[in-house]
Amino acid sequence: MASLLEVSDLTVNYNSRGSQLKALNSVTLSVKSEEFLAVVGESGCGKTTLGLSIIGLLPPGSAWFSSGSIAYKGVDLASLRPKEMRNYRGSEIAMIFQEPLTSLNPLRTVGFQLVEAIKLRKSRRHKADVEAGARSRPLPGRPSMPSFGRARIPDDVAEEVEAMLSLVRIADAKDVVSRYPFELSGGMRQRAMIAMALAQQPALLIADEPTTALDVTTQAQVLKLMKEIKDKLGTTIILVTHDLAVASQVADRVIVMYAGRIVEDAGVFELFSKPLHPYTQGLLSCIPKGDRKGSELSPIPGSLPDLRFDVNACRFQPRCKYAMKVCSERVPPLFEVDEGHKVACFLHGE
Amino acid sequence: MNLLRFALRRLLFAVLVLASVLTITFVLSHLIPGNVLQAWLGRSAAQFPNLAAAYAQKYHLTDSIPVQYFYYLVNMLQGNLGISPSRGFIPVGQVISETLPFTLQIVFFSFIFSLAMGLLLGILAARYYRSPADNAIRLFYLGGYSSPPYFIAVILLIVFSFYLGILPSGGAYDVSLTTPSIITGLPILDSLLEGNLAYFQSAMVHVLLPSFSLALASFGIITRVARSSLLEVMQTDYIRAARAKGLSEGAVFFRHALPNASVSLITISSLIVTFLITGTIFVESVFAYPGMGQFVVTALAGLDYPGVLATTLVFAVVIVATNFVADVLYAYVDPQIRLG
Repeated sequence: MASLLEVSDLTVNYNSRGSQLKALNSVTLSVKSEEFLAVVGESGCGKTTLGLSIIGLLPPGSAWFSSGSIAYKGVDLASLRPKEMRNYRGSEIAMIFQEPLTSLNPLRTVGFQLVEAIKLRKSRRHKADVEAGARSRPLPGRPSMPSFGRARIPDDVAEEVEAMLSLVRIADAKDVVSRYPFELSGGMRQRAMIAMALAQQPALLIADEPTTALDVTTQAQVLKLMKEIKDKLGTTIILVTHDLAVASQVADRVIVMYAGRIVEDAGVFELFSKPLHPYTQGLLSCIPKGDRKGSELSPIPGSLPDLRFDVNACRFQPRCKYAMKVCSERVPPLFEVDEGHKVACFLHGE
Repeated sequence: MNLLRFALRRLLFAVLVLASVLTITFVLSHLIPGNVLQAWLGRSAAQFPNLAAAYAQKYHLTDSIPVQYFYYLVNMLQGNLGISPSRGFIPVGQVISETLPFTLQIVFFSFIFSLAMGLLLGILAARYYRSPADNAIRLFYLGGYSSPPYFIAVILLIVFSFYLGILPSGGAYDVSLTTPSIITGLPILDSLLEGNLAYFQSAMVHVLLPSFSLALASFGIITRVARSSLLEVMQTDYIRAARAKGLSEGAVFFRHALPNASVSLITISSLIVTFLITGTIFVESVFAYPGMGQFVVTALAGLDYPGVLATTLVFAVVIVATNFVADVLYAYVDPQIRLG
């Protein structure tokens, strides 16, 4: 399969209270078309920054690309101007966020926010047609938007609205469209968010901790839904999560990040059966298992490093029980140990 | 229905507020030191003791304050607000109906100016956050709202009518023109409805400086609230999600950010109306504008109890009504208030 997204040597700097830190430090990864990739790591490891970088929504002014490129279908998104980047958002790359309640506008109905996305696709398509010479008439007026109050769904998109909502397994579409976000359950909100993200048929969906704010049963349903969508629509999905268990349920491939760097990149089966990086091993031993009842969990000693200080060493070395001399002298590159299994650790290369 | 119960509850609340305002004002105004009869009748009070005694009896001036209040309430409930000694003993109701329209004109135009200026600058400051434009706007509104309205009024008067001579220095209209007949009661609106354009133009020119003075003194708070609530809303997750959809910055701003920031703007706008209506007392005096604000001043100086009470009551009614409108607007904008 062809690769859809190639991130190479991407470094993102943040301005944090007067000092700079590298939220992403020469991150290189590639995502194949129709792949389900999970990016796993603790909070602050840069996984959300990675997602925001790809969709071009880093907080302006306080974060910027200092090197590297993000090639999406051959176009470097990192070098696009904001206006050009907007053409990719929603229509090519979509994103859903952790907290569906705060990610939905509280004053607008679910229908309004969904119709907004559908109309955006229509007007884009129309514009493309006009540019291609297929149609000459100007845009069919401004999309009619009800100001406040329960929206009546315009007839020309009613079918699509229902289709989108049934895609995310919302059965009672007519009722849900006229609801405000605060009137829905957490699972419903996240489904509605997914419907909005998919409304413009993007090729890539970035899901930033989409299940973290949900209870366990709903979590499982949403994950199942994402898997279904990937199979049905062929959407490539990047799932950002702190939860290895979540990643193991749905992902084809898992990337483990630590302190702004990728430490391990492997197929989901290899990663869980043969974790190579001491950090990944540590993470896995933190997961409680049913068959080891009574045995203690072993947390990783120490805590996350201060990213304001850039060091030329393995970031995990202070917490690593296998640390060697070389670990504090150089940054370990990603070694390809097996086919498709890369790890940034001197235990496995040189 | 829910809405009806809401309205009834607000109405009951409004009546209670107005009753308290009336009681407090009554007691306070009667505690103002000074010889009432001398204030009302001037030298005649001393010259004609019989006349003074007759007045004292007629208006129950020798009775205790609770008894006087009882008489006042009985009259008021019959629609009689008393007579105004400071305006030559004509009924207070008549004075109010002659002066209130002019005050409402100033309040209306200053509110429009204040809101327009405040919103525009607030939006600009938020969009160009931390730019030189933002800083200039902040300096401008700080200067505006730290200046009292009468000071701004005097400055505008000096600049526009004394030096530039382009705007009249006082009055509400050119007295040589025929006044419009009463349709709505508001002269500017009536002249427009009647097609009396000469009067309309004159009235507009005269209302400009007084209302602009009040607007300059008050727009700053709107700018400030608009700027800060827009900046806050622009940081929210749903704005990020709206951007993730690929919406243009304009659509994000006008469809998602501005409506959501408007909740706090409604609050501040209702407070601004309170400021404006009390501010008319100052600017009407500076511009000799024949509104109710001037009547308040003469009534207070002349121990004109009925005048003081009636004007206070009218102010209170306007303020209570404004708050009611604000409550309705909240419910209109925010579904959580409407449905919750």
